[in-house]
Amino acid sequence: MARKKTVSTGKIFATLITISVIMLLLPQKGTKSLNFLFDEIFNPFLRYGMATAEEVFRMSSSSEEQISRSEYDKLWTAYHNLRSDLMAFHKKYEKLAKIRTSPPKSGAPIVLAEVLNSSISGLRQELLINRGQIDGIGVGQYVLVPGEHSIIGTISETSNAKSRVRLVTDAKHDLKVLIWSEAMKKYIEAQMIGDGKKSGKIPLISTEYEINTGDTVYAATKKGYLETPRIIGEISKISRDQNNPLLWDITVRPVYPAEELNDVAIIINEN
Amino acid sequence: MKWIRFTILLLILTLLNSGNLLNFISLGSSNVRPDLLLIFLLFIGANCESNEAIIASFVIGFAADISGASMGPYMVSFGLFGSAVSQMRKVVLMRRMTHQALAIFVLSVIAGGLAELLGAIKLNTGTANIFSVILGTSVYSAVVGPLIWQLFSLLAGWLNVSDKQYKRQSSR
Repeated sequence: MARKKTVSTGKIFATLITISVIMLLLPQKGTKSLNFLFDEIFNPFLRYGMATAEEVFRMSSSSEEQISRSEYDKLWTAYHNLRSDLMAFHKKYEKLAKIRTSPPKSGAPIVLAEVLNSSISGLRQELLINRGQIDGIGVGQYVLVPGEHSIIGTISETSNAKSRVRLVTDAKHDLKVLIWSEAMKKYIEAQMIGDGKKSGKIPLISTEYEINTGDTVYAATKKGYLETPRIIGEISKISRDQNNPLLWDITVRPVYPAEELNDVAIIINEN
Repeated sequence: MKWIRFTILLLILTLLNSGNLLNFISLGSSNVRPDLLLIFLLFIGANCESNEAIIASFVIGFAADISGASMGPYMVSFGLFGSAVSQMRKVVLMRRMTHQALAIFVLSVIAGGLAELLGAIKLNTGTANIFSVILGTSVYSAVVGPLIWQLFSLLAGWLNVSDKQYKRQSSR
């Protein structure tokens, strides 16, 4: 009579831990398709429920002098982007006045995408969109709110037909920004890191710079990715750093709560 | 253990853990939520026969990885600590709710921390609020974990989770 073979606990553990370590050591390029496959198959279940526990904004009363919050945000973004454009044109004009170097460039191509799901938790602030490598999407490209042109994040991962957008509020997101100091009337270069909540943090800025609440924060230009600075949000809180009083502790509130968006626009890399 | 039933339950827990439905009970601006997969890992580790518990731990880790950002970190972490729990169940009993809560908290801090560390190394990214989120998740999981444990206990018969040894030792 055949005896049932039993495998020792040690052998099972050794085999499984080896497989796990191999999975861990495999490059992300090779394994990311599994993550995208899961999202693709179970997206209808994953997106069920609310994206985040967002506070609801309500108008106190309606009158001709008041506009809705969304309309206000739209106008506010447009105004700041226009000012940024104007400054960029000023710079170009100054350059052109001296010498004409190259023919004018056409606008950067933009691809519209639908948001399939938003993962908003402490460790992940991402959107899954229905455009991928076949649409020209690549890692590092900037993602905007369509129509309003405010930056909400960058592409962090792509598959053939889908991509992940890492929001500027994601704690893993690190972005070069420009702070427009209203008091000093000039840009200050800085680095913004998401706080994993609903804001971004700008560290290591000297208190010698005059920065105030309400000053605007732009995504800095990046050759081939972003030709002119685009608005991200405004400074919602500023105080002296508790550990180093010579530095500012700056909190940035993005213009749009990205988790509520249904569509986004991606600036395609020109290179 | 009935593996098909285990897979169905694991799939439901994975979808809840990675989807938006649990945001209804998320806390704070960091959206801290209990880690259902980790509670399930501990339940299986504490109630299953060694070989089954080890296999289940790696499978739960695989589920956490595939629904997350990268493959490997949770398989290694959950596999290691799930296996450790399955070995320790012979000496550490988790019958009282306080013991369950404490075990969930400790496992969440250690296993969650290791998984996030391995993930950060693999993806070459740092997370600014990692400590507060892991601590918040651990505390929240420890608070609601014993209640979820009771639900799993109700499903133990359906899963055919063998806890004869566990019962024998606890009655000594």
